[in-house]
Amino acid sequence: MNLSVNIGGLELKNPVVTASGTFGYGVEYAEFLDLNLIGAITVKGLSLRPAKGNPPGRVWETPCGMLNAIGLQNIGIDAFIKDKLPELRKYDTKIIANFFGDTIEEYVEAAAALSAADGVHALEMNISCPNKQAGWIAFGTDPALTEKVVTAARRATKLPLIVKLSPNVTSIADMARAAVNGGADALSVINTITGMAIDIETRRPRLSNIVGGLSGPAIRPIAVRMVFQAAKAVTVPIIGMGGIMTGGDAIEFILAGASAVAIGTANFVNPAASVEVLDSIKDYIVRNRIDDINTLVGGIIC
Amino acid sequence: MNRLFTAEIVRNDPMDNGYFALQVTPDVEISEPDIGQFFMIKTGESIDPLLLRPFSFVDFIPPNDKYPNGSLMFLIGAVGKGTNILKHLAVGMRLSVIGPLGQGFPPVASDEILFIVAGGIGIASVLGLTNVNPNTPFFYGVRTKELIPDMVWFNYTGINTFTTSDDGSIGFAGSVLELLEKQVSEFKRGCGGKIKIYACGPNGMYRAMAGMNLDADVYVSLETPMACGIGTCLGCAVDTVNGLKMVCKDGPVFNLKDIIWDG
Repeated sequence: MNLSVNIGGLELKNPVVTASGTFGYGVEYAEFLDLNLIGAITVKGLSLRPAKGNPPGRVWETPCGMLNAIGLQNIGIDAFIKDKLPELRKYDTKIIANFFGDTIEEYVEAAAALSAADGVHALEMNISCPNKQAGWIAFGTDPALTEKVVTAARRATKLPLIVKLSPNVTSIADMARAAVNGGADALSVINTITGMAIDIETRRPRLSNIVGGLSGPAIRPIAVRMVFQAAKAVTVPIIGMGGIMTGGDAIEFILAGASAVAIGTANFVNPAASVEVLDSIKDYIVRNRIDDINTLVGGIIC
Repeated sequence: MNRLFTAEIVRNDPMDNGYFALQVTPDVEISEPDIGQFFMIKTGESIDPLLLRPFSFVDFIPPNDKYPNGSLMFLIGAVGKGTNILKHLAVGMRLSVIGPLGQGFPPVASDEILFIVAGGIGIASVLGLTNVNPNTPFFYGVRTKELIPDMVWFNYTGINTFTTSDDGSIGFAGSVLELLEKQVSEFKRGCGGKIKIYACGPNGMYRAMAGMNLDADVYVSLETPMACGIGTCLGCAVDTVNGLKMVCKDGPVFNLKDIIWDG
């Protein structure tokens, strides 16, 4: 049984990775699961300088999901390389560094800094966080700007470059093509969907940022549809994500066209969710007598 | 020690006023929790509600013949979807639990006198303090008499309790803080000495306490919406004089003077 997959040059022992922003810097989860078992860890989105994020009032639970407006709080690339990477290097798994900037120049600088670090195996470019302000959002919603910023980051790194797409667009296929034209080796599909919730007694928004990103099983059918559409539009591998709670959910994404899957909000519900999803994928593979998981990718019959 | 474990419900007793007493025994050995720490509990297999719920525990009963891994006592108010599901779960069912989590109440020095303050449902976080600090003045404010949980389930002697109610149906009629302030200043005039106040109640109570001149070290247990409980989602941020802190990891117990109350 082969579970290994290749994500734009990044060799994973199995297709289960953790989603950025839901797994801290990875090391926090070592007490809950054997990090050596999972395909890759995608760390919390990193910026050149530490970021404070949004004021309190950052999460709110909704039916089968949750809204968050953390605002990309992070310790910064230097602290990550100095304090977290040495610990992460002890594990036999791949490290995907998620990063973002406020300008094209910052994206380039961040990509270069992370590429020079020992122990980062791939970069995931966040152009799609819904919790940042208007100018920034354009990188993830305007195909011309997407291509421009990806092209610039592409030149700054030799590592596999994964671009994480925003679902808050009219055509995910256009965005996928733009990222690939800019030089993306793979795509992560999808980031959270913009949403909001209001306290009807106080008439105030539940989140200080007013809007936030919706995640969890509530968004899974949308994510599956977007993976399906993106996979039809481009030939690079896709990491599918959006509300995966079980191995069955993961298989659904793979059948829609994902070569790997990322576990996000489920990590909050069960810190060991990623290994449980992996075990359940293995059960499915065995039960269906599949020799190589790659043969399942895009295997939807329609 | 494993902080992610399953636990069997061994008692789940509803009270007339919406509270319930939940006792669970872990399937594995767990660390002995400090009062003020909390546990995240999954209220069932369903994805709605999706997230675990944070609960302070009242008592950890050490391992014995009946429960080799000890047992945890919770006092919970059925206030929302998750707690109403939990309230109806049968004895013998198993729950997913993470904990103990966060930082509890600091130890009380031998030259310090402790005062405990509970507002409404906040009693669940500080009731356990009465076990380790017997005879401590315990100020407990409720809206009305009916909202007092039945203490029969807990190791609670009720000695030295000062009860207050908004409607005067029990104890002192008025604010629990009014009575606290009176007792604290009486104590200062009398024997004197250093006072620590450990409190759990609504944010409005904490704001009022922050504005009072209590001449005491005040520690409060905060509650915020929270997703992971282990410091990774960064959702439960609170503004402090030392920057943003996470209620789940840096708290839930904070020194009141460190908290910045906006607006």
